[in-house]
Amino acid sequence: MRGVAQNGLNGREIAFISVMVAFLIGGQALFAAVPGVEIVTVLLLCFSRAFGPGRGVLTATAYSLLRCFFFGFDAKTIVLYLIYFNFFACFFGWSGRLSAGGGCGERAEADGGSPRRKILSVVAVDLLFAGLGAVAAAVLLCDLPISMLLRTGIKILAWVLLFLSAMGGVAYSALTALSVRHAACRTAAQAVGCAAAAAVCTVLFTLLDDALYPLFFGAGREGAIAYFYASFTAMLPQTVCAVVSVLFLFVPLRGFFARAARRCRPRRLPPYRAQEER
Amino acid sequence: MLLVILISFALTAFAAFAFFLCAFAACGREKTVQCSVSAQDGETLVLVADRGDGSGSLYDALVRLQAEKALTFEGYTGDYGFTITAVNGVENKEDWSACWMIYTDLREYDGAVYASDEYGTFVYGGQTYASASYGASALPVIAGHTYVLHYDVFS
Repeated sequence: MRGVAQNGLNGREIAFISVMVAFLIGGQALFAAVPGVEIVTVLLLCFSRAFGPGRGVLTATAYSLLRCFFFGFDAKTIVLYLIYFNFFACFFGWSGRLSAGGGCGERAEADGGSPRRKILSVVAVDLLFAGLGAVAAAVLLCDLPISMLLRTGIKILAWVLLFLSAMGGVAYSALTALSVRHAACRTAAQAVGCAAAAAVCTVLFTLLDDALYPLFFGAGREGAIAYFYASFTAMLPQTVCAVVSVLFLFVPLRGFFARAARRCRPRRLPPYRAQEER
Repeated sequence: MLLVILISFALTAFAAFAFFLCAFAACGREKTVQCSVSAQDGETLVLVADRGDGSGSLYDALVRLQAEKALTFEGYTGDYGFTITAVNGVENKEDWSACWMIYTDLREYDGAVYASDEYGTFVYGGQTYASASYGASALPVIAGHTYVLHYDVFS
């Protein structure tokens, strides 16, 4: 019988996923020397949206395990990556299906959905930006018990995050309203919305790391709290990087992965042709 | 129009980020930091802070000592600060089964915890030093405190 099972992997997808895993590991290694800068978030985000949650989870799992051969084997990091990146792939794979109206790699609906759906999406994204802004404001208002050498830099990053959150909320609302008449604005709104979600996910990554640390290293309350505050030095630049990288790269990567997903899918024959092939 | 909107927004965000970084760098003041080598052998390096008000880090002190040819060191900057990978030619193992660790008696200062016995301790010269919570670039040098670099071997 020609073709493969509808939901099974074909050879092209396996090959593309393999290359994708290599790009994720290579991208992480490339920016490892630059604190707070990473490319994995935007790559896996756009890939999962185009290929769906199943392929995204497969890629995330392979990446989380294979990266150990390059960066070393550490139990906490393995568990952290497996939990976080599988959740990340599921979330953005599912959001990609929602925005495409059903299938991966298919063209988005021209009108972007009903008014009720638009309103819900504006509320959801604005809540995400409000949450990010609240984190930034908390950092600015509180005297964080972190190294005195890092306090100024952390506060600067918190101001940047607050600025991005405010701009992002306004931009998403405006773009969603404009998308009724301008279809291109819908893609821009998707980019802004994904940037907000990616930033929140980055915060969750750090919080998950903070939760796993005392479990794996047997740290007491004092050690866990000190680790939590020290993690702000990594969390804030990573969050800002997630927002900026998704804004910059969402549109070109989205198009690239959508075309790749369409090419990887087996050609669907009409039923009478499939019968003839048999 | 789509690209213009997105690129404009992204460039604005990036410009704001870069501006703040430059402003921060431009406002850097002279660092008050000076350490002297109190003791050293193949696996231990003990530094005592002669001058320091928290404006400079242990990394700054190591750079000065290296310039004065009192020691050599290597490392890289990561998400949590500067990580030391070699001191006086003794390098970390690739699998991290042995590596340089920082210990200090600066446990708490100005409301922040810089070292904790929970992370580990090292006894030298009858004194117990706690494992540092930060890398060398985020650990401030405070006059009168001691900083120990020890090559730990993990079983």
